Amino acid sequence: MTLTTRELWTSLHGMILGAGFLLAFTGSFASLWGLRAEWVTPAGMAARSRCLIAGTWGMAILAWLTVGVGTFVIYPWYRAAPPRDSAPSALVAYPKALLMSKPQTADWHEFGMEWKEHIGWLAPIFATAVAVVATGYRRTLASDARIRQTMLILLTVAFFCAGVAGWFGAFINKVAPVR
Amino acid sequence: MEQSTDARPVSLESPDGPAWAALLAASIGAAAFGLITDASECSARVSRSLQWYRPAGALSGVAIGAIVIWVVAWVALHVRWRGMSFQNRRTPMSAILLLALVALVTTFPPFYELFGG
Repeated sequence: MTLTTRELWTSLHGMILGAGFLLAFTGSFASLWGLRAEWVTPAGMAARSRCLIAGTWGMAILAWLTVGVGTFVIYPWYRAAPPRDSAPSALVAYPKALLMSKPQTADWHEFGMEWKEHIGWLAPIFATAVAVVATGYRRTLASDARIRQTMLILLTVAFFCAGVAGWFGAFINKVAPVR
Repeated sequence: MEQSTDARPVSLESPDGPAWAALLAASIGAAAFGLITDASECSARVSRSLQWYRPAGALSGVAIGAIVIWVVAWVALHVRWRGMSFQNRRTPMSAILLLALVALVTTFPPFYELFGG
């Protein structure tokens, strides 16, 4: 029962950092959704604010780590070009080349990986903005419906982006694993 | 305070300008990411010029470039709107959502493939 260094990095990227982001979304969304002056007491508001701040900063930090590891550590292994005249069996060490070598799998790169590598970067940007506003406006957010609605939408967009990236990452790593 | 159709920020005691600045800057950064992606996918020259960390290819330049635009936009909007509040808050909200939509569309591969990407 062993993992290679590359498998450890991909596990960290997808199963720990990325999955952590998706889990943190639920708590953050629920905290923000329920943070309304007409729904909760002042004590409840303070507790929800603390959850919201912890959850959104957790999301932001996890999202930055996920895209950073994904882009600068794992992606270079994924896209590395094989030596010229490599035998088809040697392509297993070059996931992008392996996917592109067959028409049946090329779309996993041309659509899946292309979408994943770009859309994933939107998640940390939106999550950070929401975390900053959640922290700076923790006292007034409950009575400010417009800002709260905007934050809820951006948080959901961040979740969608991370979800697309995570879904394609999991399946691409099934078809052509980084080893 | 009375609602007004005036979208310009005005001075208030508890300003919401910095909150809108942070949210709008994020959408600007995200839309910039999408537009740089499209430029990189549609032009080999742009793609080569964005290979700031060669092993990661153009994605490194796209990401770092968009982050720079995001931070610059955030600082500029924050400085401009600090101490201010919006009377008509639909305006910044609409701009934020529209730019977020631009970011989602421009990072979708079939979109940039329309332009030869």
